[in-house]
Amino acid sequence: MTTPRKQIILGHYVGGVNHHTLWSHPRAGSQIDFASFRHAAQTAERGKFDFFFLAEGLILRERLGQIFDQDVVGRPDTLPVLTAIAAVTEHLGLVGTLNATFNEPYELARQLASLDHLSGGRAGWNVVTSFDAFTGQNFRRGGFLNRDDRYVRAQEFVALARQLWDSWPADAIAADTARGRFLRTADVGVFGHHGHQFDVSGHFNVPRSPQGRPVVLQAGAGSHRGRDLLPVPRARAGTGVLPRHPGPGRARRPTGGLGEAAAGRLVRPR
Amino acid sequence: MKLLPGGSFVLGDTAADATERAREVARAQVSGQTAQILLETVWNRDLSGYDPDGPLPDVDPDPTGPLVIQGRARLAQDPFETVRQWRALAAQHRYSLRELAIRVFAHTEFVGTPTEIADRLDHFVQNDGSDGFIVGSHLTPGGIDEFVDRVVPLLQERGSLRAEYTGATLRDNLGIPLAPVGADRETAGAVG
Repeated sequence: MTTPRKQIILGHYVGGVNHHTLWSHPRAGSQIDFASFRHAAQTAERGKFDFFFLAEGLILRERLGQIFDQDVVGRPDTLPVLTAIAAVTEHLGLVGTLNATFNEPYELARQLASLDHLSGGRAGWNVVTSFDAFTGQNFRRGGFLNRDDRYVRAQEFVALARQLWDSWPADAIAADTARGRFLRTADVGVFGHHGHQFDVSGHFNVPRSPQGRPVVLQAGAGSHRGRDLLPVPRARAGTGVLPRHPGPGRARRPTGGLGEAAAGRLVRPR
Repeated sequence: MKLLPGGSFVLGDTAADATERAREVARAQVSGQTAQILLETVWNRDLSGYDPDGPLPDVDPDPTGPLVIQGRARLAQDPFETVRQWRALAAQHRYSLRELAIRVFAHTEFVGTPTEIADRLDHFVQNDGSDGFIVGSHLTPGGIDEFVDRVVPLLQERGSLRAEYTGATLRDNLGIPLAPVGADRETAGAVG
């Protein structure tokens, strides 16, 4: 009797706005046209990939105060792209990098639950924090968090998002014409969180999504604080970690073959 | 917990062909000017006056000065130590400024023939090095095509990659079951 082979999980990431992407190559296409995303996603689905992956960019890079355009400049927002891809694929997971620094949990939990509904249970969230006041100046509060607090906020953010996703029972919608009641019970979506970063309460307004909760992943687990963002016991299924440098001891047991080559940075397209 | 390291690939019909193509990709990724900019992320100084084909800048980094490069993650916790290591690397291999930048910033993780790459990916996962990979390409949007056409069938032949989707959701396909509702709400961040 042979041991079943472990199944390789494959994701495809697209479109870094950095020097890795060769925009001047004769075969290079647009980084923003939907045709580019559709092609990449449908090709990944043809290859039976588990998911399609988009990074996040919130600002244009500058060098000495000037935008530098040696690399690709400009990119679309993550969620609309994933939503559009949902309509032209059937099985491919849709993982978006979305920051827990400038977003609000109620808003982002709604968007991800909605993507999960629209895609039939294919939504995933790569949680990141944003790193500096330079990015923050695009947002109301600017660079409002120091380095440590951005992880404190992210932990609260993720916990709150989870509470929101869990706030509707799976059988909440009865659509009972005989009783004239849409809901089985009236108390759906109840949430409340009173922490240092968020003090919110109310009713979540998106019914429970096909996956219950979109899959949560975390990139760049190179820093201890970053890893702590999702402090799950190893034995617990449920969280993906996308290590920046999966060297020995971090990746489980890199045994030959890839060695250094596997120590690739993940999700470099920021 | 699933571990999914990422990387990009360059395929070739022979190992030598793949290596040569990867070298061409790296040189296209890191022009002389891009090399200066990449090193500026660590030096935090204007390095535009240093010849990309000449030696590394002979000045020390200036981590406390105003940021030269804004909007990308700073790569070095300790720029002095990073520069020290780079100087040693450059001395050892007689690298120019640009060649050092190529070595440090333009590494393609998976280079080889389709068979070599399939072997390496599969060996790594079967030996529990990771659960899979996130694969990217230097070309948008058609870069993944040859991976799907030439590497994927080999992984499927080995029985290491599905021939058809079996799950209905991303969670199903990844093999990450949902923790019961409310089961561990106390565990901040432990999202399933």
